Amino acid sequence: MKFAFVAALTTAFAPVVLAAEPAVSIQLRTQSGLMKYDQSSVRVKPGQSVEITLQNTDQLPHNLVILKEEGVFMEVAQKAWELGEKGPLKQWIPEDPRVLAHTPMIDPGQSGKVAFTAPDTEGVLDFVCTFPGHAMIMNGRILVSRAPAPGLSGLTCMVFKGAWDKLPDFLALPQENKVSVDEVNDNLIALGVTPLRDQFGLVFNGGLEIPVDGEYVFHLGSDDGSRLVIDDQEVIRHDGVHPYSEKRKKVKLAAGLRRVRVEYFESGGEEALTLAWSGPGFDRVWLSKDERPPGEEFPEAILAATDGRPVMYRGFLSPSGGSRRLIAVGTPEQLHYAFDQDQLRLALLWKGSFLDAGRHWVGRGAGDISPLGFAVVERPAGEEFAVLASPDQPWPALDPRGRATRSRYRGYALDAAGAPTFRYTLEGVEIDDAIRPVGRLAEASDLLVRTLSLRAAPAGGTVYFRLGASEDAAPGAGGFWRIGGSLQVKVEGGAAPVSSHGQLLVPVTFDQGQARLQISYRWL
Amino acid sequence: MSSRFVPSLASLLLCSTALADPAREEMSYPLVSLAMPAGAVIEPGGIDLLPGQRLAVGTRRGEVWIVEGAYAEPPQPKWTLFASGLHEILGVAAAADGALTITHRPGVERLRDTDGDGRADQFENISDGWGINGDYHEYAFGSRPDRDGNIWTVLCLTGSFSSDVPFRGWCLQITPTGEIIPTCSGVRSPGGIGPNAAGDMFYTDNQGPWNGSSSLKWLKPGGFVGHPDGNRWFDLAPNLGKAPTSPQSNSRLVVERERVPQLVPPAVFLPHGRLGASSSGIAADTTVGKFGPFAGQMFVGDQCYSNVSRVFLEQVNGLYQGAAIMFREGFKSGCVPLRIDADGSMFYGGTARGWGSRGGQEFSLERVRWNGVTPFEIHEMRAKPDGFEFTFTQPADVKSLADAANWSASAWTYIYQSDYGSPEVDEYKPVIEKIEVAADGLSARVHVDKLTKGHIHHFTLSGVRNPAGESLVHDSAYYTLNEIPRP
Repeated sequence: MKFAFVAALTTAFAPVVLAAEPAVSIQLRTQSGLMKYDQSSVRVKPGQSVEITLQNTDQLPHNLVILKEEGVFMEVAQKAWELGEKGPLKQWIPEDPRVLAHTPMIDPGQSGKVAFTAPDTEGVLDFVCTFPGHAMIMNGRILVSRAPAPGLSGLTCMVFKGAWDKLPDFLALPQENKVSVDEVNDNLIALGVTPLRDQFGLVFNGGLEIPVDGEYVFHLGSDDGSRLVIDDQEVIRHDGVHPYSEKRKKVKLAAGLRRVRVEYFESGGEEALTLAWSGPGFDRVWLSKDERPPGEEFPEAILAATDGRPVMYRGFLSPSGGSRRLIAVGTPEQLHYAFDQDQLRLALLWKGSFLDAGRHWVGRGAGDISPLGFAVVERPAGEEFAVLASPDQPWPALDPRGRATRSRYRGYALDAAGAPTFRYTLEGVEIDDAIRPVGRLAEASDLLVRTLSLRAAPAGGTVYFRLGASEDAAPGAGGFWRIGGSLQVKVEGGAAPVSSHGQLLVPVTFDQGQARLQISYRWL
Repeated sequence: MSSRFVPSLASLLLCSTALADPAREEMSYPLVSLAMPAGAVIEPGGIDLLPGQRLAVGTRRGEVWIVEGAYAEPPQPKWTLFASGLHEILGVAAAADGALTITHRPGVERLRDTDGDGRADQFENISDGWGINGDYHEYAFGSRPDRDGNIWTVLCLTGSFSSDVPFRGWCLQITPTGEIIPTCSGVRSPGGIGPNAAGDMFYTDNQGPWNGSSSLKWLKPGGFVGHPDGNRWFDLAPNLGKAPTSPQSNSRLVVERERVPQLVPPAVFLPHGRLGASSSGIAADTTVGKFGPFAGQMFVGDQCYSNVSRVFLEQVNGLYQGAAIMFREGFKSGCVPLRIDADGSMFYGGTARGWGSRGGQEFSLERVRWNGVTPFEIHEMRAKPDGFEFTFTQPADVKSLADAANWSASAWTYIYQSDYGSPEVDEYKPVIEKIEVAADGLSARVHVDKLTKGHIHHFTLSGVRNPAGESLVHDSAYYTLNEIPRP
């Protein structure tokens, strides 16, 4: 009610004749490797002096051309392209009455400005990069409007206390969990409604006026879990204990007032809650007090084993131990791993979902992706086999660029079921390395079992396999050593492990030039 | 007879624009799209030919597809997945024994199907000896094997600006046993690699630092092809001796060639904004006439403009140089791989992702085939001590050819600099002093008042007609004059 009154006041006193609006500065950025501006829509007021700074963080030159109309950016860009050889001298700006203002071409790593006065009437303008070939993706809209950016109204917040690792059914909680119910005067979602910082929950309820029928995108970010409900329909669920991240969803909404509910809980550690929305003519209007720069957004491209065959992926992966050549293997059993072609080692193990390649399959695919599942175990960097004269000798170091110095990667072969056996050589010794799940996720016993077959004993010295760092003096139940706090490892074949420089080393014993080790990895 | 030479209003309009007419290109070189499986995202990065009129297409998503039916009229493509899990494939080479050698980001690998089920089951590492640091720009393009069986690779700079890990900005040859032969430094941002008809290796580099415009460059062993940042790795290339002196920025290639003897200038510029903006795939016409009148010439794709230019090359004073002429426009996506089969089919792989392209489609596989109709085109353009000699694919009308009013010429060069690209500079208009026309109308010798070493000499033959009154399909030729032939 209070908000409605304020809104009425604002309307009543809104100037009919436009007073000079204060000038506005807008920061726009090109997104590296994506051929896009970081905002597809910006908002200015009629008659306002506008200065837009374009920071070019991409590897190609770009410009920013403001047009006087909406929906004409391709036509104007085509005219720019037809400049041909004159294009570079003219900064790819065509002679066209629809051009309102523009930056020059901005080289990679540079920035440029364009200043103009917004039209006196409300409407929509295009902006576009007119460098040949860019306009299809590099364009956006300037909304010229007197109306304030759309926001929540009549916002209230219920505060709860409790320890959860998932969103509870707040409305069903007993009285002792309830702390307070308050109006939120500025109608912005914020954690500041309560002094609580750990073990609490919030439920915001408010109204949101949908200006026109259309598609709207909601961006819900939280640390820990949250969800967004519109008119009793769940739109986004971002549940569980997790660091701050954002989820988004596009929904079709009819014009009119909708009821919005945001639920949130914080377990411990850092906390955050953000909500923004985009729609026809506006981009990322914040509905929360906390505003976080949007993370790069990619459409999902979930990779998973199909038809009982593993899926392999070689795009850049993190954590990588410094290697840039990880070969990720996703199994139908949902026990996954990454083999390291640079360092000849098992680099990563994880469970559950395999990978989302979305980041790599959009734009130029910049950046690393990370395991999508859980129980991610990162094994230490370095070659796993070495030929040593004695176990006390220092383990061979990687080269300055994080690559093996003793072993060489030879490739892999797929078996009839599509599972790879990696092959590498170490000072004349040929090694076959087959990593296979035993059991599957959600079974009582899930293991990755690694069979290492070695051929041709070295001329001198002993081949050692580095099992990892263990504080155990002897293996525990079932012959498993605890390794690095997150794994249990059992070795079959080879001589008894010896401890050297804080690492367990397994001496490999050859019989007629052949040796075999079997290593079982179990998540702790 | 004379009425034939009165141009109609329509042809006047046609001549008034520098844009080619795709309808006229289509009359000799029809273009068709090869449909892809519904829902599949196939972004070609490499194409090679397999026995039985099949294609192997390597993709940016790291897959290899086999295509049957691509030669049928109309095409009836059938796609089968051969391999997956590789990393941005930008080179595919089929061997006689059925193996496919692919070049992708981490290295060169040989793929085999040993159990005959139609899918690769062996992925043998031939070489992974170059550095990658995770930057998306560190593309690796690979050729098909040369006469020694070596795969030539060109390795893009880190972020296209610097060489942060070994051999970024280099051409390396990879021998069949995996030995690395450092071959050239100075590479910036390649778009394709392949030999000319004589077997010398070329690649395309893109406009940017030290590259005033995109161009086709000769990978002369031991040469330095322009961008100095990769020269820091000469200690890893003892076969090449000492690193070249660094060129000075804000200079000209002809000037720096005097200071840096290893500097090999681009064989042919594909002038930025005129023929394209991002040179890519290379294919030599070794069809001996099956692809039309251009036997022995080269074709160069453009990713941004989604077109293919034609390049005539000659050697003068030990350097390659020659002319670039538009060949075919109207492709649906930006060119990366380009391949011509002996039957006269050109296959064009298109992808726009991340770079934009005029074609408008995100990805494509397209085919151009010569239909036997000879287009009226400039055939060759050769440098002479005081001008150029033009030949034509059909007799030109001798009168129109001899009339200097039907010709125009301009010349310019680019700044050789560490800044991004260059405007056209040092421009002037060579005066055509004399045109000697062969009686058969198949050639014309043009004398000009001044040639400039290092300049692009651009001739537009807008008024030249054939006896049927038709203009040239493409009336502009851009000759990169690295050397002026001695009289």
